[in-house]
Amino acid sequence: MKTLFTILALGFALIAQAQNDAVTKLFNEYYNDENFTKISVSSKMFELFTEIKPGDTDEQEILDAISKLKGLKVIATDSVANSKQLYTNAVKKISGSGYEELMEVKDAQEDMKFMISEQNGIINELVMVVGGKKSFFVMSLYGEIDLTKISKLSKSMNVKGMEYLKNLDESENKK
Amino acid sequence: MRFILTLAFLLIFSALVNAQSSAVTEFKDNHETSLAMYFYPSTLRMINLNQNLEFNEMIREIKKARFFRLDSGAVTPSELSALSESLIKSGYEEMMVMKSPDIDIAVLGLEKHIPEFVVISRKGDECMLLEVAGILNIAKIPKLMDAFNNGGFLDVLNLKNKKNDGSADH
Repeated sequence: MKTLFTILALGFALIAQAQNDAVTKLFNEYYNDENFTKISVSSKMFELFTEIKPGDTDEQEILDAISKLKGLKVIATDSVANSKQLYTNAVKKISGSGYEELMEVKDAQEDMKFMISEQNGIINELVMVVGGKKSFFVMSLYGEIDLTKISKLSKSMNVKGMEYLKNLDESENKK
Repeated sequence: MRFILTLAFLLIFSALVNAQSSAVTEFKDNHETSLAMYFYPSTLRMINLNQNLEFNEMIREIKKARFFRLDSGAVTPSELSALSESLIKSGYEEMMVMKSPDIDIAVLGLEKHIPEFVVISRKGDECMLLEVAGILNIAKIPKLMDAFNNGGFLDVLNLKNKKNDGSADH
């Protein structure tokens, strides 16, 4: 019985690792491409903001959301001809490695997909993929993620593309 | 006793005010700067033309900031990398890195009682160094966006240019 639990635990660990690898591989793929903007924020950055005293409940929510984050990675470009292809490939790679689809938005300008990785009922990674006419954007936000607070965070972190996170809030409100 | 206490206070205060990276100072001293600005809480509040309370709250925990615009013709990317490495050797950690076709930015931070940050930015012909002792209240940013967009702040980076154009606001 103990062996079974060990095998199961190892299995889950490997699945989690495989998920993480899929996104990491995607980021590594474009790391040396000069057409892409690459952003990486470490957990230390988020930790430092935990010492700030909030002025009101809105600020409290923003700081709560920040304090539980462990990192942020972004790759983005707005000058590729094959952006649709890049979008399709990225979605295929990420969703094929165990991420759950959270929301999809399609309009005349761009397609976007939000995917999550969840363990024990806690979302530990939010991946956003956006494909436009010439633009392509992937963001991975990891740590402990509260979807209801994350859209407020997007206003604080003026990172290109993060404005799409407001769609999560709208989707929550429609439920 | 009073003398010792006063001396101790002055030493602590002086250490706090000068608690800024010697690596940045050395780098700045070895390169030509086209703009150098030093901010203290009082001078930071001065750029807040409309006396926006949120801004004053946001910068409340900032004790000192230094800004340098360097002649990027004289600064090579490898020199900037060497500056980052030197800061890391002195205890700073890389907190954010952004590399893009237009601009490269690195934010390094030192965790201590009063945290310190160094922002190294290179955009085309412009190379900038920003060093901050203290922390910016990031939660205030959403409320501040409108105020920034409505021009309620002094554009300190373009003051010199405006003056040269004769279009400075009086």
